[in-house]
Amino acid sequence: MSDSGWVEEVDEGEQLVLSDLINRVLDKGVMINSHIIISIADVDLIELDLKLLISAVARLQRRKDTGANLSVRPGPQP
Amino acid sequence: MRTYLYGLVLSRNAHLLPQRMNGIGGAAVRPIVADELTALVGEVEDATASLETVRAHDRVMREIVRGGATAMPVRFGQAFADEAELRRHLDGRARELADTLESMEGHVEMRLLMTLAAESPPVPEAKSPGTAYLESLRSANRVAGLGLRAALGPVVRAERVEELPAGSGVAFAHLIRREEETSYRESVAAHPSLGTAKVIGPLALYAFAEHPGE
Repeated sequence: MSDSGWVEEVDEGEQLVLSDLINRVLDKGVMINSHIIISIADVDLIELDLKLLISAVARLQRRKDTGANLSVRPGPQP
Repeated sequence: MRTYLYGLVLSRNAHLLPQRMNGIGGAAVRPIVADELTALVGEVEDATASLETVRAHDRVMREIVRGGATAMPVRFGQAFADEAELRRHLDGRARELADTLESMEGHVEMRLLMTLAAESPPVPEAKSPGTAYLESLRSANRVAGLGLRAALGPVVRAERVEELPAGSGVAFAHLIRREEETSYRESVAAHPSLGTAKVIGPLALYAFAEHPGE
C-alpha cells in the first residue's frame, strides 16, 4: 500500500478476498436499525476496481427504493 | 460520537470475548449486556465506509470469533445516538436473535472464494445479464463437482452460494462446527478442482444469520 493509502497492485487472489470483504461487511449481517445512513468515501475504498463499490452502492440504493429507509450519500473528502 | 455496533453474542459466552479489542478509528470495543444478548460496540465519530473502516469492522468480528464465541455480525454502519437507543432497537429483535445464536452455537462460517472458470460454456446472449451470470455460476459449479457441499463431505452442515460484486467471482459460504476447521481445510485441499480457491475463516455467521442452517 502506498503512502497515500491507495492500493497499487493487487493480484487476482487478493482482489477476490477484498471483493468478498466488501460484500460481507457492507451487504451482509443483521440490521438492527433500519434507518441507517451509510456514507461511502467517494474516491477511497478500493482503487483496483471501483465497480465493486458501485455494485454494493447500487444494491443499497435498490433497497432504499423499496422502502428500507436507507440513504447513501458521498462521504466527506479524506 | 455515536455508539457503533459491530456484532452480537450470547451473554453466556461473553467470558470468551477478547479482553481488549480496538475497532474503527482505534476506539476500544466494549460489551453491552442486554439480557440474553451481548452487543459489541465502540464510540465512533465517523463511520464512513472506506477500506480502512471496513477492515476495522471485519477485524473486530474475526477477533470475537477467534476468542471462541459464536457471533452474529451486524451490517456495517449500524450506529446509535447512545446506549439507550441501541437497547431500544435491540429489544424488538432480541428473542429472535438469541434463538438464532442458540441454534448456531458452536458453529462458524468458512468461505471458499473462486473466480469464474474461464472455460465455462458460453451463455446465449438473448438472456438478461443477471440470468446469464447465474447460469455461468451454475456451469462453474458443475465443473467443480456438482456442488461443493457434496464434494466436501459432512463437515459442511449448510452451504450458501453468493455472487461477488461486479462478476469478480463466487463465494461458497459453509457452516461448520468450530472444531472441524482443520478437517474442512483438509477436504478443500484434497479436492482436485479447488486448488486455486481462497479459504477465508473462521468467520461470524454472515451467510447464515438471517436464514439459519438447514
